[in-house]
Amino acid sequence: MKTTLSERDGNTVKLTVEVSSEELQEAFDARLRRLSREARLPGFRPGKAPTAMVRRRLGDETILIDAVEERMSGWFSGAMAELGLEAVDHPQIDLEGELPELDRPLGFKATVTVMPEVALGEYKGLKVPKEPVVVEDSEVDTQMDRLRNEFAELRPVTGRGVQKGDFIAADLRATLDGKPVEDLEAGDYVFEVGGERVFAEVEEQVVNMSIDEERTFPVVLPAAFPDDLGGRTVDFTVRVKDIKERELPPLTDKWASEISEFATLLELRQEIRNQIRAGKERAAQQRLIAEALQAAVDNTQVDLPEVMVRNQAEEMLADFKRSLESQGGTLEGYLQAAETTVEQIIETMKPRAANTVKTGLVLDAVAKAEGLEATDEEVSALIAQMAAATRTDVKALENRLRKNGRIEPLREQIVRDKAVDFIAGSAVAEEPAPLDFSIPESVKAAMAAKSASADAPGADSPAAAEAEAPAETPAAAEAEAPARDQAVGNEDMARDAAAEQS
Amino acid sequence: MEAREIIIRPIISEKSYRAIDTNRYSFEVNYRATKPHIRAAVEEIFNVKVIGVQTINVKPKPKRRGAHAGVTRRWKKAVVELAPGNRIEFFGAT
Repeated sequence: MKTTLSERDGNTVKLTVEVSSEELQEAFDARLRRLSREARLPGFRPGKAPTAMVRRRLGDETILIDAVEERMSGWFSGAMAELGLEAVDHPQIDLEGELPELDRPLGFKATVTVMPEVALGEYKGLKVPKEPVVVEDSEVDTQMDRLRNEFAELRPVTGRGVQKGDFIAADLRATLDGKPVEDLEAGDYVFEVGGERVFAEVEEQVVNMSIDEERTFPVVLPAAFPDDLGGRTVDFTVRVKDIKERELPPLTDKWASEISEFATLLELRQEIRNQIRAGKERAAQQRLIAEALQAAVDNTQVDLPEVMVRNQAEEMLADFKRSLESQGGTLEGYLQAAETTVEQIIETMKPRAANTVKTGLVLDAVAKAEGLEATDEEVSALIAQMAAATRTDVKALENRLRKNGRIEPLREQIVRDKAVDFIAGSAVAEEPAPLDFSIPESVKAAMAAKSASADAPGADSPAAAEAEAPAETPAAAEAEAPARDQAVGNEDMARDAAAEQS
Repeated sequence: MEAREIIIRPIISEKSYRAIDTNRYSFEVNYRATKPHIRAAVEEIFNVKVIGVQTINVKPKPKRRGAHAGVTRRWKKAVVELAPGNRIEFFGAT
């Protein structure tokens, strides 16, 4: 087999391959043998007919075309291997209008998209802005309040009417044109006033009612109400049976020691603060990794082939479909509700898909540059971990993975994880640059112009002093806004990375 | 009887194929043909030297298709042995 690279245009490669007549003959013979093994000819048991007869019966041309079809992908990948290229798409094979013939070499051209060349940029020691981890008192307070609410007790209320936040028990019933509506009937129904479990009208009306008081008022049913009752007005009757209020436990050391292992309130607070801090630090670490990774990706030049992006986007769509189905929905239903098409979704997914593909390529390139590899032990460890997570037998899982050819992807995953660790490990967290309070040139110019018209020329210094105060706010706001945008983007990245890992 | 009337068709089957190894070729022949007829006909058509002829009267086999009962046609099979070095190109085989 002779292979030549005849053209390269970006990621598209054109190969010219010539298969020698011996190779063609070999393919032909192999195909004929295979056909003979199952050929059914009258007078012979299936597969027992002599090859010569089978050949005569089917005709050389048919067999040869079959043989070429059968071998083509092998020839193609052999040619790619010879040139050291990796295809990312199905090749387009062009036989140039020639029918293959025995005793003559077969030439063909193949056009295919190959793995793009990855021009790695900086990826070692990347500087990532460090965000200080701060726990505000208010956050601790919120957490404490939640804890108190959890341990709140309900106390019966006497001597006052219903108030917002109370838990009340009531008999509910409704009539439509004098006829009772069964669906709206409930005895001793307990709900929180303001908990939005019942119609807004009911919550409104019930305030200030006292025990055993009964009140009737109209309620407009929501449009989505079943049985054609949507939008109708019913007469709703509420009879309050019981009122209870939530009593929050007092913030004392005693309470703290009752509900936790800590003896004092202060220690409990401290623990909560520590937990919040730990959570934030984890998030900050995640963000750091994601940001370093994204920086490495952004520094890298890759001309991404469209097919790779599209395949990735399709995979993401498939994931999306699966998640819909796991919630009992269908993609078709979603498309209808969102008034969109599969094509449109894929189109909107492409930017993210492109980033994911690029990230993968960068990680592979980094792994290669740094000689990162996955050992068999690491693969086994990962399988064992997966087995433990899904409570399956390690051996069974390994066999299944092996059968489905899922071992190699695992190995790649480990290598990529190592590349992520490498990039993140070498990244340097940097204090954020101080906010830029200087006045932008444009503002300065405007100010100068303004002051020039108002004041006499040469009043430079008062104009500058004046300018400083109002200019501060927009400048600061401007500086903050991109930072926020970036943070959002990073969350996306972190999610992608997490999704990939799972 | 003309030679072409005597030899009706070659028998191509696993069994007949195996017999070719011992230089014996099988044919369906005219039911009324005798061994000398067959010998002469094969020698004439294929231009070979025949050293032996064996014939078999293939008996009718009962067949039925639903309510209709019947039998297959009776026919004569001949296995012809050729002198060493002689060959018949059976449909390009061997």
